Amino acid sequence: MADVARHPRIELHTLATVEAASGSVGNFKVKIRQKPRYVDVDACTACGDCAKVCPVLLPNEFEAGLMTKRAIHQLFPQAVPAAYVIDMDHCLGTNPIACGKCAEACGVHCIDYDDQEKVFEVEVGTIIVATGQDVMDPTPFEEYGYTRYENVLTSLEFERLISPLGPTLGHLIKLSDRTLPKTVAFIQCVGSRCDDGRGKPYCSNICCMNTIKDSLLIRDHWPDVEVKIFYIDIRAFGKGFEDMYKRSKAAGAKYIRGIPGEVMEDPETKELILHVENGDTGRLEEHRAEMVILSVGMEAPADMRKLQTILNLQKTPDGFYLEAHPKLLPVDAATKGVFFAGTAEGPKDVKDSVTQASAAAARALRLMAEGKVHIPAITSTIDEDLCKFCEVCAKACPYGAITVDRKTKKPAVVAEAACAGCGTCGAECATGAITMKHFTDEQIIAQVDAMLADRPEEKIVVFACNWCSYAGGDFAGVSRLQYPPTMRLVRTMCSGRVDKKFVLHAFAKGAPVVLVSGCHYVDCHYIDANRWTQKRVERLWDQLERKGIRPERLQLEWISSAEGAKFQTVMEAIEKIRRTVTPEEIEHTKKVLEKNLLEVPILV
Amino acid sequence: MSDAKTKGPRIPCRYKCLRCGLVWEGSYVKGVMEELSCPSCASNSQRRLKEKKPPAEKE
Ligand SMILES: Cc1cc2nc3c(=O)[nH]c(=O)nc-3n(C[C@H](O)[C@H](O)[C@H](O)COP(=O)(O)OP(=O)(O)OC[C@H]3O[C@@H](n4cnc5c(N)ncnc54)[C@H](O)[C@@H]3O)c2cc1C
Ligand SMILES: [Zn+2]
Repeated sequence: MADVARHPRIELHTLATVEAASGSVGNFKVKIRQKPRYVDVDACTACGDCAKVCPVLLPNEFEAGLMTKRAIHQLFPQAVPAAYVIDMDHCLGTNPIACGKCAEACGVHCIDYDDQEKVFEVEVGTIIVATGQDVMDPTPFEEYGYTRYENVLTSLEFERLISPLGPTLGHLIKLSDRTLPKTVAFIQCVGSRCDDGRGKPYCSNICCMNTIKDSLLIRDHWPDVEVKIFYIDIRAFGKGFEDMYKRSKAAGAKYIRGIPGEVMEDPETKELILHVENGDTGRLEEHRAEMVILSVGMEAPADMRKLQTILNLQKTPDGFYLEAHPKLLPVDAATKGVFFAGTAEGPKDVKDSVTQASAAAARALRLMAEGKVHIPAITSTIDEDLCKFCEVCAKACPYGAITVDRKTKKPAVVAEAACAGCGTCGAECATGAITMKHFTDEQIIAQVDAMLADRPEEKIVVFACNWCSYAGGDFAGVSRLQYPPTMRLVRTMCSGRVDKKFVLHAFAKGAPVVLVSGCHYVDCHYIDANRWTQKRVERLWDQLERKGIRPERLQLEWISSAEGAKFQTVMEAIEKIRRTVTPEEIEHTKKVLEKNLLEVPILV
Repeated sequence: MSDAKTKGPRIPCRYKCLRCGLVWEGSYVKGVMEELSCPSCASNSQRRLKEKKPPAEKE
C-alpha cells in the first residue's frame, strides 16, 4: 500500500465511496464521496501526540475489539496514508463542551474540526472492483457459546491476539485469566458449508489453511500447548498446502474428524468441554480445551447492492460478484471496462487475490494502452422517428447501454461501447425503432421465408443462439449424432433477439413447429438476456392459444454447446410433435395469422 | 430481470409440459425467472397453468 501511495500515477482517495457512475468503457464518470478526516494528511507526521491526550476511548475494530483506540487514531499501524483520523461521532470536539485537546497537542497544527465532506467527479477509462469480504458472524451458532464464554474466540480475534503488534504484543493468553492455555481447540467450518440457514452453503476456501498455519505457529512458539482441530475434511488443495498440513501433523497438532455438537464451560475452572462423534473411530468422545477458536468463513459484504446497481454488476447465489465467464473471462465483469480483484468475486486467500488483482490490472491496462475499444459490428441502432420513449429497451438491456427518457420524450440512445449486441432491445421494441446490425428483422425474416419456400409442412424452424444451442448443434454434427433432417436453423447472437414477429411469421408461412433455443440460465452470454426470451415465449403461448393455435407447436429449449446429445434428443422429440400437426391445422394457422404477415416489415 | 432481485415467498403452482403433456406440481417466486425442466422428459417448455380462482362465496 505504501508503494501505491507513493506512485506518481496513482491517486488514492481514502475514506471514500463511489456514489454514482455514468458512461461506458473508456469514458466512465465516477462520483466519489469522501468523508472528512479532520486531519491534514500532508502535515500530519503520525507522531501520535494527539491520541495521547484524547479523553475518548472506543473499541478498536482492527484489533477485533480486543484493544481500544481514541477518538483520534490511526486506523492501523501500517495505514496509508500514515495520518490520524477523527471519529467525529465520538469526538468531543469544540462543541458542546470544548475539548480541543488534540488540536492543542498537535505540534504541526494539522487538526481542523471544520473539515467538510467532499463530493467530486473523476473521469476513468476502466474500473476495478476490489471491495473484499466480510467475516462471518458466529453468534447464530449458539451451541459453541461464543457470546457466553470468554475463552471462545473467532479465528480473526485469534489472529489479532497472537500478532506481535496486537493487544498482548504476541503473547498467547486466555482472556479469562491471562495465562497460557494448555490446549487450544479449533472448530472448522463455522458458518461455511452450512445449509440450515444460519450460515452459508459454500466453502470459504481459506479457513483450513488458516487453521493449519495457526497450529504451526502455536506448536512452534509454545511447544507445550496442545492443539486439537475438529474438522469435516481438510481442504489443502493449493501449492505447498498438503505439505503444510503434513508439517502441522508432524508438529503434533491432533486432527479429529468431527464437528462438536456443543461446547460447554466448567463454571469453576472455565475449562471448555467439547462433545464430538469421531468420524474415524465412530465413537462419541469428550475433549477438553482451555481455549476454543471458531474458524469462521467469509461472506459477501452486506452493502454490495449499492455498487452492484451503480456499475450494473451481477451476483452469484453466494452473494459475490459474478464474472463475465467462469473460464474465459474470470476477472471481467459483464459490464465492459469493469474488472474484479480479490474476494469481491469469491472467497480466496491473499495469493489468489493478488493473482487476480494482477490479472485485472493487466486486463484494464490492455484497454487503456490501446486507447480505443474494438466492438463487434452487431450493435443496435435507433430510429429516433419511430421511438415512442416507452423505455422498454432500456429495461431489457442487460448492460444498461440504452438511455431514454419518457418524461422529456428524449428518444433512446445506445452507448455502442457498452452494447454487446444481444438484440434483446430489438426484440422487445414494439415500434420497430431498433435495428440490430447484421441481424436485422429483414435478414432474419428472409431466412425464414427461404426455409419455408418449399414444402413448409416438412420443416421445423429452429432459432438457435450463437454461443450455446447453435454450437450444441455443431457438436452433435461433429460427434456424428443423427438427428432429423427437417431442422432449419436460424442463428441469432442470443435467444433474446428472437422477436415474437419472427415466430408468428414462421407459423404464418406454414411452419408446423418452431423451436426457440438458447443458453442455460447460468451460461447466458448476455448476463440474463435469455430471461426475456422465456418471458416472450410464455406470452406467445398464451397468444397462440387465444388464436386457436396449439401452444405445443412453439417449443423452448436451453441447450449448451457441450450438449450435442441433448440437441439430438430435442430434435427427435420435436420431430415427433411435427408429425402430429395436420395440414388442416397449418391452413387454419395461416389464415389466422394472415394479418400478421402484413404487419412484418416488407423486404426492400 | 436479475434472479437476485428481492425474493418473495415460493408460491405453489402447476406446470404443463408442452412436450410430453405431463402436468406437475411446482412453485414460483413472483417476478423471478427460473430455468424449468419437466420431471418426466426434461424438456424446458413448461407452461405455468393459470388456475382459475374459485368464485368468492357470497354471504
Ligand atoms: C478469518 C480470516 C482469516 C484469513 N486468513 C488468511 C491467511 O492466513 N492467509 C491468506 O492468504 N488469506 C487469509 N484470509 C483471506 C484474506 O483475508 C483475503 O484473501 C484478502 O483479505 C482479500 O483481499 P481483498 O483486497 O480482496 O479484500 P479485503 O481485504 O476485504 O479489502 C477490501 C477493501 O475494500 C474496502 N471496501 C469495501 N467496500 C467498499 C466500497 N464500497 N467503497 C470503498 N471501499 C470499500 C474495505 O474497507 C476493504 O479495505 C483470511 C480471511 C479471513 C476472513
Ligand atoms: Zn415433459
